[in-house]
Amino acid sequence: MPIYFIGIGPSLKYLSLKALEALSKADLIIVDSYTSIVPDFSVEGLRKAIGYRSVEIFTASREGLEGESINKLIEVAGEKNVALLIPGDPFIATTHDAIRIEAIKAGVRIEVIHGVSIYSMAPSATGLQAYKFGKMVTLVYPRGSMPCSIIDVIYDNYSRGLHTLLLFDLKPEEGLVMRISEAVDVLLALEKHCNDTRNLGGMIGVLVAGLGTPNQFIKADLLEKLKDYSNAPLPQSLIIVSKLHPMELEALYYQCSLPKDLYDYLSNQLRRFIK
Amino acid sequence: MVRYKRVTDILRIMKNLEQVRNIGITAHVDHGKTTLSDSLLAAAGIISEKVAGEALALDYLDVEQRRQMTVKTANVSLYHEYRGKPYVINLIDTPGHVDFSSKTTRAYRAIDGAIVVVDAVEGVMTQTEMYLRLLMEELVRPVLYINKIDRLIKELRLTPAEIQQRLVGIMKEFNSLLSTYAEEPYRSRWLLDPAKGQVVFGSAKDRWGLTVPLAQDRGIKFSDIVAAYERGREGIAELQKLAPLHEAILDTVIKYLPNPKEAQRYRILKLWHGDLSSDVARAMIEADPNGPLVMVINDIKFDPHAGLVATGRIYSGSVKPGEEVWLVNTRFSERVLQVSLYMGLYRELADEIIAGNIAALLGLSKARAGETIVSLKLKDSMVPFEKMRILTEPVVTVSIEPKTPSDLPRLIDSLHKMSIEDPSLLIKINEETGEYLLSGLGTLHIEIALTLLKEFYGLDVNVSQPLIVYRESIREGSDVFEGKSPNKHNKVYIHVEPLDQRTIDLIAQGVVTEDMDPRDRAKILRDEAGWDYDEARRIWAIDENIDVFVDLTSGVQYLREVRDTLIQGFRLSMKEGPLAAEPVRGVKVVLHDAVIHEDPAHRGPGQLFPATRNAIYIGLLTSKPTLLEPLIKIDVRVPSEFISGVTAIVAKKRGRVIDMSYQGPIVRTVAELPVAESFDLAEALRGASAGKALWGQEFSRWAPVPDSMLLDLVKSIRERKGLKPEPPKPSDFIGP
Ligand SMILES: Nc1nc2c(ncn2[C@@H]2O[C@H](COP(=O)(O)OP(=O)(O)O)[C@@H](O)[C@H]2O)c(=O)[nH]1
Repeated sequence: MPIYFIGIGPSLKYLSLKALEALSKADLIIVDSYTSIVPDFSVEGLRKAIGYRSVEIFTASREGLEGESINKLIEVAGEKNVALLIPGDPFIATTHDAIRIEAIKAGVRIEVIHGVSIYSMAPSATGLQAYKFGKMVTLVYPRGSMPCSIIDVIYDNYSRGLHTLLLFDLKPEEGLVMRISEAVDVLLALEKHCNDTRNLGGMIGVLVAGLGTPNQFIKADLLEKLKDYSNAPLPQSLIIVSKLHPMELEALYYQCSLPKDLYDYLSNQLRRFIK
Repeated sequence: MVRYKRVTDILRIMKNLEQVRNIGITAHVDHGKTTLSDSLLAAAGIISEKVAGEALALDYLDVEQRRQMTVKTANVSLYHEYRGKPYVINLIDTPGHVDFSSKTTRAYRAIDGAIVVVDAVEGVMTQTEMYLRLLMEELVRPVLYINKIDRLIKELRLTPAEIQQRLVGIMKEFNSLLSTYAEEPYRSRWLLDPAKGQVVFGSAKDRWGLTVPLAQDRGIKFSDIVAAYERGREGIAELQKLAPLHEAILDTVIKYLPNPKEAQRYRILKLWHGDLSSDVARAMIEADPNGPLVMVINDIKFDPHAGLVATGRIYSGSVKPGEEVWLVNTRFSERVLQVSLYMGLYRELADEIIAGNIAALLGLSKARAGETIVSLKLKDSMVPFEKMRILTEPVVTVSIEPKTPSDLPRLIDSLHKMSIEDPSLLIKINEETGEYLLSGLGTLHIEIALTLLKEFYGLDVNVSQPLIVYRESIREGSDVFEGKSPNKHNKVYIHVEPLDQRTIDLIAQGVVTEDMDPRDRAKILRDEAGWDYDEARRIWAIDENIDVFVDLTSGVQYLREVRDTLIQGFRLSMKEGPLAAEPVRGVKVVLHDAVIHEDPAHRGPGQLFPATRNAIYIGLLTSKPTLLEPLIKIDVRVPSEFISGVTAIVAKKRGRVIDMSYQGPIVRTVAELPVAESFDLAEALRGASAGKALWGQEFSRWAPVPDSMLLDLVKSIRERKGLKPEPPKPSDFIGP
């Protein structure tokens, strides 16, 4: 029996026809509840989406889908059609790679049904060009060790004229969800700790919040200023902007509410550059 | 009749060591040690004008308060004039009963002479004998005080001739014990001669006392004493006036007990094990005030106002406030903030205190009882008087709770203080159950701590059965194993091997530590334990149970960033080994390679702890794992007729005799046996020696349990901890 890896995308409303078809065949649906947030997800909503067909639905925490649990899952797949429902696009976060590999090794058929990921929504929604994104990185809660590599990634990208998509850490088992103001604080603290003397606070960022949901919110401004928007919908992510193409600058102003003074300032710079 | 003195006057006396005595009082329980101390303090205690001026002085003689203070003070100083010359006598607190702890011997090392109190009715008892033996072993010269003469008169109604007979009997017995236990030349020098006034008799309760010469001098006969008691209160008051107890005692002390200068001449040879031809040895033997500072701390107490007070004896040089000193065992320098001397019960500031005297220091937060303190110039050369274990390895644990729940804060506070005063007591909270756990070096050690808790801090507690702490270790090196994180994106490659004994010793003694300079550490390990210098340079961590984590990787991306997480994973794994969830000891863990996920969200502790643990556990389980049990070393001294009983006990308890030597009529046996077998040791030894065994115990080492016991032991520990009885297999940590 196969395992379907189904991407939910940013909202239950994004479930594709293909996804619904796979779900209609599943004997067991397991929902990943820890890699990201799908704001309108509920088991009840899912039941409705599959037409109230009688089927077992579990929500799994990290322990349920890692380590020893992988073997159990594959065992179950020997007898049942299993659908794994994962926020975004199933393998972008790499979290479930091990299940796929182990399943194939065990001779279990797998099928991947893609969903829409923040990875494509971020450029798409902001007008920043996908071609101009560098490595993405998760901004984690610094505990025990200070992940200076995050600052390195940002500056590496920046110095090559590439934007950085920063995903925010999530600790569902502790009820923690990072929001923009905390994220900026963590970034500044990291920068200070890692003895970087450049000034992240003065960079321009784009807050993308609740993309793909009815309340989605996009705002471009200096990082420091973005701290005011913590109440924007979840999940929140941040793009740290590097050198802009004139079209991107227009997009920031018209599409992402970049303040007028910043827009004028950057336009001037661009013009001088063109001269 | 408390003396009011100026600090400067006392300091002047202290500069002339002929006018100083450092002594203790010992007695079989109830023979009158406390009553005697109190009466001496009341009659000869000194206080400074400053204290006298304070309201406190009004209560100075209040018995209750004084009793409380006597127990709490490390030292009480007395003032006495003998033949027109002033003297300072330091009465150093010695433990109330021989408890075989290092605390007892420590106290005996600080004193040069002792007053042994014997109850005239009961005579010489077992503890009297024990004390006398201890005094002889430490070369402390005794004088005898026969107490409670009033009972001979009032209760036994003895005639003057019978009283005299009785005193002679006690004296003879005392002398015969002394000649049994003392070595030459002290045996012949220290035998007591009543005609010379080396024996005092009297009543501590009624505060009179006499020696034979004093009685002759004042024309007092035994019949006069009996008559005085017949006359009642008036007669006794007259006796007190005519023959005050403190005078008889202190005259004898000054006349016959050695002053510090005399005493150090022979005692240093016995107490200190360094090079006797060195300059510092010479300075100590001569109690040279101009020599380098050497001081031994014999007591640490908390003062609610001043903080940690370290009291000790200066053997050489002098100590001044503001001076930086070196703590030999702790290997740390600290600044002395205040120096004080004892004036009666109180401490008063001094500018300088010189060799031969007792001083109290403030500012040494790292000093512990037993520490040797020296001037910085002796930093690298000084051999300490006592080698203290820096890393204490408690082996027995009990859980305790106050009988009255509201006492909990007081219990925590008291336990905390006790563990500072005795660093080998360890206090922990069991995070799961919230119980307070008290760990010590043996069952006896715990018992003593509990007694202290009750008697000193007045706390009644419920105590669990003592549990022995085991360690896990391995007996061969493993292959390199892969440890995977739950998401499989992180991998570490690790092998484990036993640490060599020399390295273990260096770490246990605190010579090699985690926080020292890595280059210095590598040099020591190379020179003393044969390590490869480059490998030693790459030590990441050394944990509290003597395990070492070494990084031998090269060019692993993000390693620096996850280093702390891996180290923490190492510590956690070693805290609870795979066999029985006991701490792992004496293992080297080597990281050879690692694969770390690109994104920090996928390489957090949740991923790296299990990865590290899996690799370490597989390594440990495939390397002949075993349990180590704690062994104690006992040092038993019994009259030779009891020796076979002692060896039989050692054999029965899975023990081994290490050394046996004859010292006159005494056989000294040094043996090693498992703590697990030691629970009723005290009783067994008492039984086998008619109560005459004198013995000490200390932690010896960890040793593998016999193979025949291993499986059962693992099972019983696991069951106690609520784990499944069989230990895991290596394959349990390999995962998919
Ligand atoms: N009759 C009498 N009783 C005494 C004398 N000295 C002490 N005591 C009593 O003996 C008991 C034990 O004395 P204490 O000083 O506490 O003995 P310690 O255990 O050696 O400190 C107490 O009740 C004292 O009052 C004495 O000279 N005569």
